[in-house]
Amino acid sequence: MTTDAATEKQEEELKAALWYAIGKYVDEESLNRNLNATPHFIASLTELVYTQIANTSRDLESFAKHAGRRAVNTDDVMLLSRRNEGLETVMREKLDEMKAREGRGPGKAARGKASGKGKGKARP
Amino acid sequence: MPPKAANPQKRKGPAFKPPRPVNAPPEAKKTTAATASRSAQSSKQAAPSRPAFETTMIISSSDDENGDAFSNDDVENGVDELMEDASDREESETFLTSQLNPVPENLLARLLYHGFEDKDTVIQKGALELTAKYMDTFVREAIARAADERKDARKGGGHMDGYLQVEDLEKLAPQLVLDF
Repeated sequence: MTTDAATEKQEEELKAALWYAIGKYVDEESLNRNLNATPHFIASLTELVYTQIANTSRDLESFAKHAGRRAVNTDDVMLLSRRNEGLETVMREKLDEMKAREGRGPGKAARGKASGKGKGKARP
Repeated sequence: MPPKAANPQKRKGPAFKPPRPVNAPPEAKKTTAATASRSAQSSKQAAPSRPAFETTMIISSSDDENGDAFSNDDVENGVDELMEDASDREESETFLTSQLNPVPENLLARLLYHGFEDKDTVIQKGALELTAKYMDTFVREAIARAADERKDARKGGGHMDGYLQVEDLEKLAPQLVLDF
């Protein structure tokens, strides 16, 4: 019972934090686009994003589990975009950019395996 | 020595002007401290007051990269070309996208961990960054579609012009969630 209440409270806090972040973003965005948003809109958007993140986290967990891992890696995240080609392009570009940055960074982080583009499983 | 002095001028042009095909998505949050001053003028017209917490979103690791790009200006090497592309991208897109991340990474991490059913599950840093990009795209898309709905509604003589409404979100949500 007490743990239930605790999670509920935590959920409230997380949602409040998300609300704040989304609100900031919407404000900035509406300045750029020259529109306005009602507070209701921001609240609903927060709810939508919160639900989407909850679903996403469950998906990612399942993907990692399916691969027999405990850690979610970039391949799992790429799977999120499997139904949307445009989104996949966006995410692939982001991934490539991250890899490029990592490659140029100090010490060239030894993450060769995780950088595999998906298929060809690097097995020892 | 003399050619060296002439070089920078020649190379400066291509570094900023040409409208090359942008081959990467908007990378607003990647803006570095070095470019902040440059992008400041472009974002100023759009958003006069930038929120203070935005600075925490700046990825400092790319800071020195940019410094590299400038010091490499008159030195030929492989990294140079990459960096030119990067600065191009930032230049051309600062006015389009806000500098803000709708869901800051720390918050996203908390939310994701909250959602994991198995408390042993962890998420790698790169994966988190990519997920942040995913959510960023999601939110941006939601707002863009809502703005579109509003435009349609205005033509139909709706009330409260220019204000994004819950109804707009209601209309776009099903398709949006299907698309993500």
